Amino acid sequence: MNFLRAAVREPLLHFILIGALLFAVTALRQKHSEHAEIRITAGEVTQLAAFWETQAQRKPTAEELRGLIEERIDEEVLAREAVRLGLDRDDVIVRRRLAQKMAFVSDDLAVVAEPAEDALREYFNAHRETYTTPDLYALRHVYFNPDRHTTLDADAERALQRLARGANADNVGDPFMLPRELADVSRDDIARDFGSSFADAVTGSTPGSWSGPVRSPFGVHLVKLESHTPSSTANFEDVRDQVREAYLAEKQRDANAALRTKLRQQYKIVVEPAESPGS
Amino acid sequence: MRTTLLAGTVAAVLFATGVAAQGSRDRNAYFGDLHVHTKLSFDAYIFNVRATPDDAYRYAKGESIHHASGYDVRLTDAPLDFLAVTDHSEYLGIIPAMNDPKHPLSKLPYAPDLFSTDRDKINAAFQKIGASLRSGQYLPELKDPDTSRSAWRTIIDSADRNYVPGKFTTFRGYEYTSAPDGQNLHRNVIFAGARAPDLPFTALESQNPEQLWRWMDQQRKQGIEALAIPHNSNGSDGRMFQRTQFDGRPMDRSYAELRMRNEPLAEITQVKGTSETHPSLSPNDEWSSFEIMDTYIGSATKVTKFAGGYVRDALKSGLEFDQAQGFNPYHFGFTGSSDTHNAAGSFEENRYFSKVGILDGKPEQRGSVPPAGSTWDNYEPKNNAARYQTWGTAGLTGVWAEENTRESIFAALRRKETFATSGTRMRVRFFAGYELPDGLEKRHDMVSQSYAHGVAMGADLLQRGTRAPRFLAWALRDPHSGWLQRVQIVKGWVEDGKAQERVFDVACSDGLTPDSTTHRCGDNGATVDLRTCAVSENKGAVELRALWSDPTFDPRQRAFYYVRVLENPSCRWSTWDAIRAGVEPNPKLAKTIQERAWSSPIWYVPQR
Repeated sequence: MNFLRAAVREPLLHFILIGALLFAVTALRQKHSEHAEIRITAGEVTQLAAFWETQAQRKPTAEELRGLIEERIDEEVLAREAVRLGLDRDDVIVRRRLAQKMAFVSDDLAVVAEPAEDALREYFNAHRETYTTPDLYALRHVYFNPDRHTTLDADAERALQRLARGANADNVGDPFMLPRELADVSRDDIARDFGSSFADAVTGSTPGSWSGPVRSPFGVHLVKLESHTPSSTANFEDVRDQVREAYLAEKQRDANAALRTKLRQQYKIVVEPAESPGS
Repeated sequence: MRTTLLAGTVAAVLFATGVAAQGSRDRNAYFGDLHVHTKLSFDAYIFNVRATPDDAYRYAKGESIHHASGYDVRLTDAPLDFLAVTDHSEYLGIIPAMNDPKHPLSKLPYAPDLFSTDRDKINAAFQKIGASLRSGQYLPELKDPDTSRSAWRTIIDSADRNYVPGKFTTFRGYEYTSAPDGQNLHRNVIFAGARAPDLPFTALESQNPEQLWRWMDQQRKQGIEALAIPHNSNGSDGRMFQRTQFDGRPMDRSYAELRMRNEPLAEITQVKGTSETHPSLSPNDEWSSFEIMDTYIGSATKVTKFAGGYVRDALKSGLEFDQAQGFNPYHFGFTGSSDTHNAAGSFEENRYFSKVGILDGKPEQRGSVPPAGSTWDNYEPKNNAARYQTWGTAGLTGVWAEENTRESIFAALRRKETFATSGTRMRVRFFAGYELPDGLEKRHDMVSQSYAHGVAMGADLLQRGTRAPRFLAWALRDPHSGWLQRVQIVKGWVEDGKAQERVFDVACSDGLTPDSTTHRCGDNGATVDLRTCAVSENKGAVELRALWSDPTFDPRQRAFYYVRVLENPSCRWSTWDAIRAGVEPNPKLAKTIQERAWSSPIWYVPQR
């Protein structure tokens, strides 16, 4: 039975130990009576049996179950003695697990109150850029493929003159797979498909007339900026729900950080310099 | 079957015309990832991943998110157009609950075992649940539908919240994780719209995918439309596209229709290897050894049966079924995705961060840099690194759709007007028809002419007389990646009842032309400097296109054709890792690769 062998070899045993240690930590916080009680609840017995079953693929016999319980009691006793002797200190796994538990608990402690309307407006004003649409452009371009022109720039210049005289742009240049007309696009939208230098050249050009040649990772283009809509900020009322969500998330983060700071204040923290810095 | 397909094609065309007024009539290419895991997947959580579905969407939109190995990751060149979070439905949300001290599941005695930072313990814990998935048997103490329902709600809400019609599309989805005896039969289920079931159908209900499809049929009757996409057929040991039903009974028409109604697509590439074809299946294809993964999923067990595990082979057996029995269970198109378990696909070779959280987030863990104290001479990778070093960068799905909305993109997936890439964003067009005009490839209205006089990738071309049809193949480089080297058409056909295959180069870069006998482009001389990964600046093409006729066309032979586009060679991620670390690249790994794209096939259907 590979399963059983694996179960014994598995880190299971010492992980149960660690679990028990954690249990013991809480137990020790309560007043220690003359004879501290070790109680294995009915629920725990069911869990022990269920876990055994997943490993062995059958239910434990009554005798096997007694064995599991005895083992569990031994663990509990050993774990409590280990804590009493301070063996839980300097153990990175125990420490990390405790810290994790504390983080869970503390995140719940810091409950954020429903914000006042003024606070939301203030937050909106401080984060206007989040609720601002970028500059939007509409443009046309024609394309010249460097693999198909020996005099690429000259061909593009000649085409520019034809366009300036009113030639139909549909018949100028080479076929191109990307759209020859773009509307409602931001500079970043242009850059993702045509590269940054093309995006900068187009958005910087004067609306209404053909210009170029402009280079892109595909070759050269002639471009005509049709329109430019400057960026605008949304009305507070239209984005109130988003603002509230962002506000609450930020306050939650702040509250969690504040709690950690407060907890730190209860300690004197010393960080010793490393022996050979930077090594 | 044939009438169904015809009806589907007609419906697709009508649909396309219907929405043309709003979106782009010629359709745009949108790029996305339909295979993303977050902390809600049992394995991702064990790998220390804590990124949420919202994080996955933030990453796809171009923001940076945190990686479990302690650094931030971001899409540097461009955000994605669409994404589906597809967490494992088995034990969905259970593992995070076990790590929540307030949750009863955290009281399980072995709960702490799962949250170790010790890699061996993580692996052991992972294998425990892996064993449950191999057997299909629930670990009874981990069955908690309420917790799973709440996680499913999180996924659904996140998809809906992050959907920005026209700008960024999200899909509700999940992964059905069936792996009987470890043979990978995983599928991603992608829902069309804003309706989804109360809980997903999982492999712990049944490992038989036919049951999944029947469940999807039932959902469809209730107005919940979805499709399933199988992946990692390369890790199925020949089972994903076997020639029988799941239980060994022979295929029949109703099986083929059930399957194709629900699975119009297959994932051809992802981090865990490419499933196009294998050198043993395609000995005459010089590019068949691309990012091959030859083990089972999540283990070092070697695959022994390649037939039935790769999509080209499946398309061929589909032709044979159709020829002999009049139905085709493998009439599917292609997608590519990441299968990231970091909520973030690693698409770029020069910024690779692999896939499984803290297990492979650093070069020493994935075989690209020797661990401290060893050199390549005495390097013996442990099981996992031996597998991780064979993984490749994530793939992408390209779709041709009118606009970036759920309706438009899902319709494109349905009609298979899709292509896959090895992670770059080259664009591929592919059409076939009898009336494609002379000189089409030089016209500005090439695309609208092609739609008007032909069929697009993913469709059937029915026989008309004995003339050979024409094919238009067109590829454009990714402005943020390398230059194109060649465009190929891969053909499969049936001759005397047996399927054959052949690769034709149809367009070459640098003024070269395909040889009329070998159908190969000459060497364009593109090189890579392995000290810096610099590539030759003056080799390759911005775009390549060809109007092509099959010189071996026989009107009586059933066939499929798909396009494969190859970039010039460039450094593989493992070479980039080595250069950054100042060491030699791992001598056991390919130093360069050729990034590529695959169009969905067009099927030629002779009259009976």
